This record gives sequence, C-alpha cells and structure tokens, in this order.
Amino acid sequence: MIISLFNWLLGSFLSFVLLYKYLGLFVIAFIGALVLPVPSSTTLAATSAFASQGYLSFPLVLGVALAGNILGDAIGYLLAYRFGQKVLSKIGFARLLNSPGYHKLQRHIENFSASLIYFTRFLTEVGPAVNILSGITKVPARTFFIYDILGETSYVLLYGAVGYFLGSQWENNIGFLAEAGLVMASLGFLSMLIQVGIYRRRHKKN
Amino acid sequence: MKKRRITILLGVGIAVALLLIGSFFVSGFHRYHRVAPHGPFAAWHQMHNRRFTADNVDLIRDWMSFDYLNWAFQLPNDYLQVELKIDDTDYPHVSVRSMAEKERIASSVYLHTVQVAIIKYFAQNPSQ
Repeated sequence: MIISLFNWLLGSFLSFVLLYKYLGLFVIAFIGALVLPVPSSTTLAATSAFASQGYLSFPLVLGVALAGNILGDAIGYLLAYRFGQKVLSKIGFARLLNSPGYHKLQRHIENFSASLIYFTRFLTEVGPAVNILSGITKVPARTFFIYDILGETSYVLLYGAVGYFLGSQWENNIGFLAEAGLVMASLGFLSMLIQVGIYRRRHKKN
Repeated sequence: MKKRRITILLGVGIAVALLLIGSFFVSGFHRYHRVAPHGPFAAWHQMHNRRFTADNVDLIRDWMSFDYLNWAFQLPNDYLQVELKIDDTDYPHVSVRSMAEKERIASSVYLHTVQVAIIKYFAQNPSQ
C-alpha cells in the first residue's frame, strides 16, 4: 500500500519534470526544501538519468536543483528567524521559550549547528524541520548559509552523479539512493558524537 | 560513573555509525559490480551510447510524456498521435497516465497500447 502510494507519487513528480523540465525540477526541489517531505532525492537522481540520456542538460539539472534547494532552505530559515519565536509565543508556547530546557537546546544547536545543518541536507524528510529549528533558535545567518550551501552542493552532486551514472538503470537502484541517505545520516551522527567527545574533553580541562 | 557511561555510549554510537558506513560501501561495491560487470566504464558507455529500440519498450512507464517517448525512441513527432488517435491539443506535452485517464482506460492497458504502437513502428522501419 505505502510502496504503491510512493510509486504513484514519484510517478506524478517525474511526469511533472518531464512536462515542465527545469521549472518542474526547480518547483519540486524548492517545495521539498521549504516544507514538504517529497521524494526530491529520487526525482533528482531520475532527472540526472534523463540528462545522461541527453534529454536534459546535466549542468543545468545540477544548477536548477541547487538553486531550488538553497532558496527553499533560505526562506524556511529566514521566516522562522524573523517570526518563529513570535508565532510560538502567540500560540501558547511563551513559557517554553523561557524554559531552561529551551536554552539548553539552543546552546546545543549553537555548538553542533555545522554538522546538524550540513548532514541533514541529505535527509530531505528532516531538512525543512532543521531549517525552521535553526531560525527559531537564532543560529547566525552566516553559519546557516555556509553549511547549507556546502551541504546542498554535496547533496546535489552526490545524487546527481548517482543518477547520471546509473542512467536507465536508476529505477532498479532506488534502494541505493535510500542507503546513500542513511550513510550520510550515519556520518552526521558520527561527526556529532566526535564533536560531543571533543566538547566534553574541553569542558573537563577548563 | 555517569561520565564513564556517557563515554561508553559515545563509543557504541561511533561503532554503530562506522558499521553502517562500512555496510553501505560493501553493498555499493556489490551493486556497482552488478551494473558494471565488464570493467569500470564499459557498462557506463554501453548504457549511454545505447539507443532505445523495440527491445526496450518494457522501460516505458505511465508517467512518461509523449514528448519524452518520441525523443527516446526517435519516433516522428506525430507517429503516436496518429497511431493512438490522440486529439488532445497538449500532445506531445502530456503523460501516458493523463491520456489514459482522459480516454477512461486503465493506465496499464493504455501503456500496453503505446508499447505495441512502438513495436509496430520498429517493425515497419527496420532500418531505425
């Protein structure tokens, strides 16, 4: 049931890309980065496969996907940065914003924002939530954009290259794309654990 | 005691992450060898220089647009339109699925009709 729903959804997205080409890809990447957990990684790999056949231009596919992702991330982050705390206060979470738990979370995000932002670019289901969280907890714009652009560039290059290399075989290797997301999540987890270790050692010395 | 527990948890976490990364590389290596059994770039060249022919109609999916099918199989732009009696003004910028819905035919049945029409084209034009 879930698999057939996913296939139907993916089919609709791919139809959209084939009909509207670069504009279609941009819209899907943008929506995926801004708010909805759409299958944008598989769409990017499939679009790169169409590019490998010569139907689309590969550099343009990479450029458009990158632009859509970065713009979606930026709008999510900036909206949360500007209005996030106000909205949370208005809907009854004012006490939460002043709680020690929230300040602790804010400190943790500040300390680990680099790996959190970079690695969640590979997890399209989690990425939009991290953008909003970064905005609400006031991660500095410079930090957010540096790691967002680095992360999105790596993500687009990885999935684009996989789709381009697999060509017509991309459909038989969807599992590989899921595994790639999983390995990036593991790398993120690993990097965070190492950072925690370093952080703890520094604190111990101080 | 608490510090020691945290250190152990950190070590276990790092080991699990390394295990996951290692298993990905092993699985990627096996997958790569399935895709490219005759050397690193042989399959890649074969895939990318290959033209779609009647043997590849099983690759057609209902989400594909007629524009893409015409391009991939190098069909004349109006061939499928005439063969399938399509009078939609959006043709070829319409998907097989949408046409099936418009014709009120099951998508799989319509897809089969498209496949048969393409096989027929290659039978009539063996030089293609």
